[in-house]
Amino acid sequence: MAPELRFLAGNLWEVGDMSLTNGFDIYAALSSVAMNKMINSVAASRPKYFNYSSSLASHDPDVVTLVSPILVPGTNQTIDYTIALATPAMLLYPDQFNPAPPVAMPIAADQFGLALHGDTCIVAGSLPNPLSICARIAIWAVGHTEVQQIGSGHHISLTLDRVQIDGAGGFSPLLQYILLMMLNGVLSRTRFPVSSVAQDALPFRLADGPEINGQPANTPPGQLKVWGALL
Amino acid sequence: MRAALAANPDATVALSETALTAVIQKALANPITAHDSGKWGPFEAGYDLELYAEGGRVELINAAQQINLNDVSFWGNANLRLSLNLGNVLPRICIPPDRICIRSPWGGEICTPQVCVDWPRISVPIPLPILRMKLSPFFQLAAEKAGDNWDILMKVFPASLLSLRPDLEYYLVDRIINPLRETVRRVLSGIPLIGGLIANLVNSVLSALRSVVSGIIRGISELVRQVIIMINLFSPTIPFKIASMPARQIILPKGDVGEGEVSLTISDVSTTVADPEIQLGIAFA
Repeated sequence: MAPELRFLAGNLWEVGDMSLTNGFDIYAALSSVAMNKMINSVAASRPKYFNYSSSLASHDPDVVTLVSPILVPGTNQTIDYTIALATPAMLLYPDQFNPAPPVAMPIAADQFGLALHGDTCIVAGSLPNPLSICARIAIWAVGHTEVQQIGSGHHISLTLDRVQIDGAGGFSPLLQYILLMMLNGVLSRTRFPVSSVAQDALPFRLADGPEINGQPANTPPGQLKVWGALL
Repeated sequence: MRAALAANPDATVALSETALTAVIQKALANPITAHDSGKWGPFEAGYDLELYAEGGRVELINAAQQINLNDVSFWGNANLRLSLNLGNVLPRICIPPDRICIRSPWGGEICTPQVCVDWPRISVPIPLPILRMKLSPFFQLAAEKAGDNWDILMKVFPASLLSLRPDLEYYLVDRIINPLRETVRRVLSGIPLIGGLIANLVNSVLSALRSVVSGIIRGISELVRQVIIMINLFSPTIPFKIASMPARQIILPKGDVGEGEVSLTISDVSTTVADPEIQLGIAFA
């Protein structure tokens, strides 16, 4: 007779009356801590996903993605600019944004949230005295997960559905639209293996999930969960 | 004992009792073969063992943090080949038994003719069934780092294998003696002039066998026991691996310029038996 499952304060949880596997062969779950460790690893190994510049004069091409400079309308002059995205923090339901975005944007069941800030600078003036004019915006985004089977493994892809920013005044809707595309572009190049911790040893096919909520009642919340059938 | 994983595992994996049973059944699925031989008195015995394993109900015991595998059955065949140089057992027999010699007038001796039997070597194949025997070993669940991997292990409690010795003696003695008797009788019948002696000669061979047959049977029994212990699942020295995970989990392999490898390293794995499943808590560095 198994002991009772309770989600205790301090994030300690115990095995329950019902089980994590809940009738399936295998259960695998990633906490938001694990997801954030993965994101930090992506940011450390692939900084060019988060850093853009139209001029590589002072940047290493390995850590910065080159973009086209801005053409000033009506002139033949270009303006160099940089965008630096901070490493996002990921939240899994039921965690909510803190600080919250200006317009309420709750993270619902089966959703994840990303919180970060972005620094944009345009390079005014000319060499040898360039002048940076910079702005920082705060960014919140919510999205959903999908699981793809690649080979014998399962990978989670993340797709953002909504972005909100603060600090751009009337330009917010424009920048939100652009950022949604940019961030989804970054996310599309990263996939998080949910089952790699066990997949080679215990190959399985996905039977249920992914799920980010407290159901079944016995599984701990704040985790990305999948259930599988052993092959 | 409360079943609880390390607080806040970064990742959690759980394997149901059904799935664990499937993994164990797979480990027991193949027949096990082994060969051994020995010398007992004048006999040489070689035995080829074929052993099959079946069944075994997994029972997860939270209180003791233990996995029981109840009622695993073993059965099979030991194909014994018994060889004997009859000359090592049978007396020297010459016909006629005594020679009469006289001194020759030309020097030397003249003796009556005598033929001495050149005892042959015999080899008898004897199939010995190993009757079904049951084992209910129990195991401890553990996670250990070995080289570049984290292994999830079932470690057998050696005391739970003690009842293992198969009892072969009570019925096998006749199974060995009868075929030997038939072979010896047949071989000796082919040797001329010793017809009246055959019964006694056969008895000589059989009594030589009787004095060593227990040893032969014990040898087979010991081989069965050793073979079972060597099955990966039951080895007291080499634990059974349920799963093996590379410590460095590569999330994204190295790509183009500027796309370094993205990986996470497992720093710790904790395990718990939590009926109806076993659970692993994984921490990343």
